[in-house]
Amino acid sequence: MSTTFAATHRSPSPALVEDAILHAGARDALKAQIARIEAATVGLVAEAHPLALDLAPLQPGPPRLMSLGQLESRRDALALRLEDARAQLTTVRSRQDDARVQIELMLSDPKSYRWLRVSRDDLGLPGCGHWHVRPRLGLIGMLAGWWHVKISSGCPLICDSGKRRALTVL
Amino acid sequence: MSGILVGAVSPEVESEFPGMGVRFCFVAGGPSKTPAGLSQELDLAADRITGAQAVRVAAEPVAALYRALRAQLGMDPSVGEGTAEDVIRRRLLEGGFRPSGIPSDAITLATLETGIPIWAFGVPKEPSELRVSLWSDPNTGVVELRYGDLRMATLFGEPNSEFEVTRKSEQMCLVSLLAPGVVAEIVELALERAIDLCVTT
Repeated sequence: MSTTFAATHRSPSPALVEDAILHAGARDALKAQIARIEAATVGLVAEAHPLALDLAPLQPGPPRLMSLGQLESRRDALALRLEDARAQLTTVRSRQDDARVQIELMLSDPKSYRWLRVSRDDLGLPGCGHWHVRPRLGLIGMLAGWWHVKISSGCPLICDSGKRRALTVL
Repeated sequence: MSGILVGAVSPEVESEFPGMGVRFCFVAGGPSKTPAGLSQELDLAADRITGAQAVRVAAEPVAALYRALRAQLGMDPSVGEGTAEDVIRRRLLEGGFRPSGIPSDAITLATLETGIPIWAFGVPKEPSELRVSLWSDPNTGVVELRYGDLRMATLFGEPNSEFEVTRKSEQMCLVSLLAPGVVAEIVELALERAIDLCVTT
């Protein structure tokens, strides 16, 4: 169904018209870039889950047809946010890699890493378990230098809501 | 599709966003209580939503197109009244969907199922039905929804006070936006679903 606009329609400002005509190609390119950058940012946020990336909010404003300059500054703001998201994700990943290496070192030589604890959270894994270097047989192991890595399986109370509901029903 | 009308789009909006459109329909009467069936459906839908899904929803194809549009319109893409992300965020903050009556609950469920934003407005009954249009203010360029010559709401924003759905509303106008790249049939299906849920009270 085609529709025509009402007779009451007023002409847009000449500046907007001129901008639209002269820079149509550039505007299309900028809009495509904005869409791509936004999609990439959302992809990174989804990839980082369950970790929440701390992204700076964009300047709020009403939905409007933007001039070429405004589109450029919007694209730049989104690009900065994407860069920030990438940097945060890279930092987190390198921290997780360090934690993995740390666990390997702890397992190969527990005595050198006494009392050190690495949690599943440090590895970006769900749950609350951890790897902990502890003495065997408590005080005896401590005095004798018998150290080992104890792996905690996490909190037994955490289960998915479906199971919990089933248990409640039973 | 029956009952669903195609809204007009101003030439400036059309040239800036080819493929952008508006679909709308009228539902007789004003707000009403949420029926038990719809409440149950909303409860079931709420139970299926997890934190991971709330993060993933923004990356889903339809939601991504609306996000891209909001970014291109100079908005913060995470902000937008009535979007699927907004509905899921509400669910996470409130711990469920509290029944808030028709049309609000009907729209919530239709949006959850389709990912298409729908807004409800209270409109007077006119002798000849006026059209909904997508308009940009000639001075500021702000994109808004209009009913005849009157401004209903800024796009993705709250309705103007005179177009809020209240007990005094003679009829309700459900409006949906067709973002560039979104298939028109999905938008029409979302509206049809919302009408069904509003009418089967």
